[in-house]
Amino acid sequence: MKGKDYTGYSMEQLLNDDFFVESFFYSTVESHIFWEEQILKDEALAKEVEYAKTVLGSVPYRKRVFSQADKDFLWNRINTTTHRKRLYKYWYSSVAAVAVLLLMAGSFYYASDYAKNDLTAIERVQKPEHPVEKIQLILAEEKKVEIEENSRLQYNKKGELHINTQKVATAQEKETDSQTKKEPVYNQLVVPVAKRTFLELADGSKIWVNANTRVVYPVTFEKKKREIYVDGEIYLEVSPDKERPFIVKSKKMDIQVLGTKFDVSAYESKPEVSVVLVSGKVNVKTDNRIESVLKPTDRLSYKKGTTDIQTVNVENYISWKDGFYTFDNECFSTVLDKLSDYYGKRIEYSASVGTLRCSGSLNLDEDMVKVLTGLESTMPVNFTIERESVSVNVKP
Amino acid sequence: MELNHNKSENKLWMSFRNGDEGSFEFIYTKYADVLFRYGIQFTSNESLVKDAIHDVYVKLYNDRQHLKTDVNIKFYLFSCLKNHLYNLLKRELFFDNIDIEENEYLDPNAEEQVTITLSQNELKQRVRKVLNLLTDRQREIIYYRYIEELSTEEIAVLMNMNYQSVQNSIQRSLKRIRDSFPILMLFFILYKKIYFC
Repeated sequence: MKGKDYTGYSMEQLLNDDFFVESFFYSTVESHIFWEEQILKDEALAKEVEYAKTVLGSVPYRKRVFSQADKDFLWNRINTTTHRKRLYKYWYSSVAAVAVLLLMAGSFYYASDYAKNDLTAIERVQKPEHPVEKIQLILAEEKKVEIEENSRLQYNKKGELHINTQKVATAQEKETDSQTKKEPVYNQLVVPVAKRTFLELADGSKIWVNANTRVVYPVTFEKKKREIYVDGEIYLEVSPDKERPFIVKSKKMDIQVLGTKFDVSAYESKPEVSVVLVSGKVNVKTDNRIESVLKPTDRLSYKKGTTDIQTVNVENYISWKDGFYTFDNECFSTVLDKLSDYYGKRIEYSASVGTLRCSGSLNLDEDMVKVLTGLESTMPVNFTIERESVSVNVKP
Repeated sequence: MELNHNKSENKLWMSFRNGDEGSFEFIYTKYADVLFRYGIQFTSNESLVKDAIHDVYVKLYNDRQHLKTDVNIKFYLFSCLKNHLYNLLKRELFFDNIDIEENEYLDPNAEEQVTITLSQNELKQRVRKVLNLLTDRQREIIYYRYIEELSTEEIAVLMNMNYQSVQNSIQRSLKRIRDSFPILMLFFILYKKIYFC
């Protein structure tokens, strides 16, 4: 490396040094001057350098010309073969893990490729017409139950629902043991902005549901698979069940898991969807027909046909389930966007506000005004809260 | 410089995995030549090497969605080529022996040959002789290390050896070279006209 001291270096050591080898094959004015100086002041080194240079210049290998014409011709061959193969059907690799992907909904041009009649029953469950203020559980036959925040919903193995250990009479109880032909009965949990809840499914899987989210799930799972539908964000701890893979469906992603912990962010109204894997293994299939296998601490984000996987500090992505958001030198724009999603109110800010950096944690049980006031004391910004939106400006 | 190289490589690989046709073509444009150069070390049958390269890229294209996200593209292509060459040649792969006359040496000072002294020339001859006397595995490792600039880990995978064995092999090869240096060379150090460019 430049500036490194090469005194006492032998030919062998020089040949093991990346900078030396690079200087020989790709010399620059700087590297040339550098080595000139080295050999001028150290005769022993000069000898070793000469030896090493000779070795590098003497490596025997067969040389043949690969002409541009030949190269182009070969490319044509490759192109022909690959485009022939494109007609073959797409097949799935063996899915080992379940990925929970939250698909951010959003007008996405691929959506038009999905004809309505391709939707499975679970995807066709209608979302409520009007935005709700309280957490709602919509049972079969449109029966609605209001849920208090911080309630604990739990389905036992038989599909009986208990809310805070109190049994809730549901229409499903009249059903006889399901024949496989009978369509499963779906419940829909609707969580409005600024609220969160927790749900335990019939197989023991645990779901933490974030604000502005709805989850559709069968009261009891089918024999061959466990499937739920998400529009929003959830954190999932899936019960292992080798016989029945767990599938989280959303508008743009399907995640298949065997038993694992992960966060899925898949709002139908947003263009970006993501999955963060905490433990286990998941296979994510996005609607551009590409599959990815994730390992713990991977975060996959998918937007407009492009997939990106990065390693993250998972805590920042799942802390919401315990009631707070944590940020670690995060762009303020990310923080503001998350708050906007959570409270359901538009937050407008300029680029200079967005690029500020922010670390800390916010308590989600507090109302928005309180959280913003707290932020004002730590960040050099002012918040102006209006009826329809909040605007943020840099403090003068 | 190396870090930048990795970043843009990563982007190229990611966009290729995502189905971008232009990226696939670029991976061909960028690496087909070195793949040819590599394949030709195992056999002088140029047509066969081209078939192998064809198979590598077709398989790459078909498998693109299932590929790992974090790869060193050149190294990955090299291992693919080795596999396909093995399938086509139906024999163990080893570096061919090369006649000294047939050789073309990677010597950027080639034009300067006229000005080197007899001593330098003699040194060159000796080194070349030794390098040609190495076993084909030793020559293969030297080729990977200095011509293709692969890392020791990568060489270990391609050669199906462990890291330490690769290091030892390189050291042994260099020792043989050093042992061949004539004592005359000691006076060589006074020759100041040593330059890289």
